[in-house]
Amino acid sequence: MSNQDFFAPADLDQACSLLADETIQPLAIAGGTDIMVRFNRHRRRRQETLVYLGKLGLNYLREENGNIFVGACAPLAEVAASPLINQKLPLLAKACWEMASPAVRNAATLGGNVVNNARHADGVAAFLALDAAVVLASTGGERTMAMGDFMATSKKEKLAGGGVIKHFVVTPLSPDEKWAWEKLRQRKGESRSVVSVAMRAEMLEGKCTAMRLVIGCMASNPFVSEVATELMVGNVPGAVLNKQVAERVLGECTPTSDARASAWYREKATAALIERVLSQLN
Amino acid sequence: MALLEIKVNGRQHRLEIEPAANLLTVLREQLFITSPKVGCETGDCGTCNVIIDGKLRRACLTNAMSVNGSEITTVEGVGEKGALHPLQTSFYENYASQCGFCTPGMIMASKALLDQNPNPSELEIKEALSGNLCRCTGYVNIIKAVKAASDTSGQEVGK
Amino acid sequence: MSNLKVVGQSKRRYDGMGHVTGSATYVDDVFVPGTLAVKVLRSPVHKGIIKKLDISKAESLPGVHGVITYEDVPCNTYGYLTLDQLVLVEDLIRYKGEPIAAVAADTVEIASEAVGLMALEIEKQAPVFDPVAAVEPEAPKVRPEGNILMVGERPYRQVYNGDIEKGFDQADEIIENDFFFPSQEHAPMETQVSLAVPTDDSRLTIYTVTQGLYFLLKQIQRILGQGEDVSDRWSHRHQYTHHGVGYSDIKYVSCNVGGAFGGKTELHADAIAALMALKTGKPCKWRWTREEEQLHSARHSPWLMHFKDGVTRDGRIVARQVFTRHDAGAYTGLSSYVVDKHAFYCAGPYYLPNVDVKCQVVYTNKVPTGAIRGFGVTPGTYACEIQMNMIAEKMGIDPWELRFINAMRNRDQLATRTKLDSVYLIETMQKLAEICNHPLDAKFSAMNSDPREA
Repeated sequence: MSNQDFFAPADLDQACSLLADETIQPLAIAGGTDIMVRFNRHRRRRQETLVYLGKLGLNYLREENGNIFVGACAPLAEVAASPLINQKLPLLAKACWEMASPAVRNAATLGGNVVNNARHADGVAAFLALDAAVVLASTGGERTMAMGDFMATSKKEKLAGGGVIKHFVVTPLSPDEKWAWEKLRQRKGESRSVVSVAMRAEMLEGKCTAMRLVIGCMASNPFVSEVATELMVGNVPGAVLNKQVAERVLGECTPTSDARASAWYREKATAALIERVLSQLN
Repeated sequence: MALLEIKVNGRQHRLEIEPAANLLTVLREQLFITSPKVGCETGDCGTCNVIIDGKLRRACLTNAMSVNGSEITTVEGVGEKGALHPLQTSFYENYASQCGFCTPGMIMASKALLDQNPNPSELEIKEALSGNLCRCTGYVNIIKAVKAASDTSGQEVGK
Repeated sequence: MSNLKVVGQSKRRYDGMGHVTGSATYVDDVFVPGTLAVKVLRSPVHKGIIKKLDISKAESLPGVHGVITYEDVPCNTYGYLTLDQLVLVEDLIRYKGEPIAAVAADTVEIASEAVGLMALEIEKQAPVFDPVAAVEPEAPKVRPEGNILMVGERPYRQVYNGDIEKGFDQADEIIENDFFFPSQEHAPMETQVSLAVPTDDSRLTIYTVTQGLYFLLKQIQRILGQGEDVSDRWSHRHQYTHHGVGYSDIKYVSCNVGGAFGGKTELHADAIAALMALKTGKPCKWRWTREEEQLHSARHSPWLMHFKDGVTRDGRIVARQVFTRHDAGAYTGLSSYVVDKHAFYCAGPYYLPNVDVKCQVVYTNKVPTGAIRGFGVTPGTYACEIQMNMIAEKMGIDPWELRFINAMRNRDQLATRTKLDSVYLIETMQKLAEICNHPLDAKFSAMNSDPREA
């Protein structure tokens, strides 16, 4: 390999090959809104070879065979403004619109959000709620995994063979489905979520027939609440049940205190958001 | 090292840069274009706002090589004394600056807004400026200045 | 008034055009060829003793032009009123983030790496953060002289007038409250930045963010060995007196300031940038990161105030006793001055015949506190006015009326015995009541600021 330090491959296979080559110390960069913060805060002469993913054309937002394909490198602003996403995946559009600020949304990507793997990651929470699949490209070919499985996979395994997220595949929200995206943060702009709750659910004749309730910021990653599914499916939502669900869901959480909020606040606020979201079912 | 070719404020540049360098450092320290400021280096304050290929971006979070071949606009390219953009005139006339440090970032964010939406509501102005911090003015005159610039009838605000 | 060009007219900011065209020049916008980047090793602990500092690996890193420790500083102590603050730590660390060593290198990256190569061995000690805990006899000592700043023989600044016990005896009600005014960080959009450029024979041009040029020029002069207390190393060059010719060795240049609110009146970046410039013989720029600004720059101190007022049934405050603790942080800075201001103004614009204000400066292992808009007075005013409202509520008196009853008038004395001759609080409140449509009892509408009957 040459001593070139920066690559902007137009071909996904080439990108994976570069990222799989440990000898060049490759580092993938998409929008840069996470990685550049790290570079800026810890200024060092860099030995890594940067592999820029922005020329791979992974910014498409399209519908194919009844599924929505969300390119991993589509900037949040484009996802939020897309007529297709607003119509078919309004939960995702809302989540993207409420992240960061205008300038950051023009660069940040959902792929980056998912890979960055933060406790408060809104992209992860939204995709989990939507039950999205992740398509991961590598030198070994393409793999499709459920979002939850992808989050459970080790970083090493994710990056094996120069792993790059190609796109997310999501079943569109049908008009009959209920969805919600609620979050609280210190101010509206440039402020990471302090608590977040997302929901994708179905109702039939007054009863809940499907429930994916995702809790963000309350554990090492956003997660789908098994307890919520167990308690809601087959039942009629109501104030009493909703409150019960909120209480039981907190049992699945491990909130922490940090500069933005205490664990106590996160518990109280998450419970309130869960009840708010469930009350939208009927 | 890497070779960066960018057009800044209409002028073509060819520079050798560190591949990891952010655009803010390149603009300020290699091209001496100093209107984008170093306020936080984490993308939170907005003082480094620039427009890249028509989109508002944080120069501090933009890897310079990743925008190789792009067109970049800073306040110096928005207008100059004697040929001011309506936003610059409006900021000046409406006392929308005190220390002035946030002003270039505010003007770029406002320009990006008006380029897409020539007549924004107050809420739309606030949303467009939601990524910009000001510690001096309390924002009221800034919002007023953007509104005044957008109301300038007959002027080509979108340019 | 027709010959007035400015008064009575609306004028645009003279620097407004610079702001909107991006031509305004802040310190970081000044570029001098060959400028080195400065980075500083800061204490990772709140309190401790440096046992060992090894800068050799930093010094020998290619691209590094110089490293300094306290031994390179001609006069390592400085301050506004008490010369207790250190440019670089000698052995006792007093707060987390306190500068220990500095390096100048070709790039910020190399300078940062160099800081990482400095080896520190520290014997950690127990810090004290709470000013209430800091005054206890067993509290860890922030400084050798103890955690309270003595004012003569007293452990506080005191303003006393009349007879406080007699005053309380005359009162029908005693109203006591505690007030807490929390610490605030200025958080200007522009961080601390300094560019020091050596010109000829150790003369320096320093581009500074401070607005207090003359405040800090004296301090820099002293640090660079041009003041009175000069160490032997440098005395061969500097025979200047504190007020003499020494000023001419430093050209201190103020640029556009990107916000300060009082946070740029301390010697944050200038001294170290200047020292690095003298050490390396090259221009040196030190730009604080946002993290350094938020964590390590001077901030407004927290204030703990206890008000005890004696009030008569008809609403006159006949006695006021205040005890205030001001948390100075690790060094004195402007604290001895600010507690004076606070003590003078605690009584508010009210006529209080018996006053006893004690204001104590306490040291803690935190960043030294400094100026912020209205400092000293703002916490006192805040407490005073809320206390007034609480008195009004307790006594069943309208809060406006309470203020009219107790308002200062001409020829009244402040607690400091300053006689007042131009007081119009009563008339101001009457105008305010008119503007906000607040009806006033005729008795108060008829009042004025004429001298009180004897």
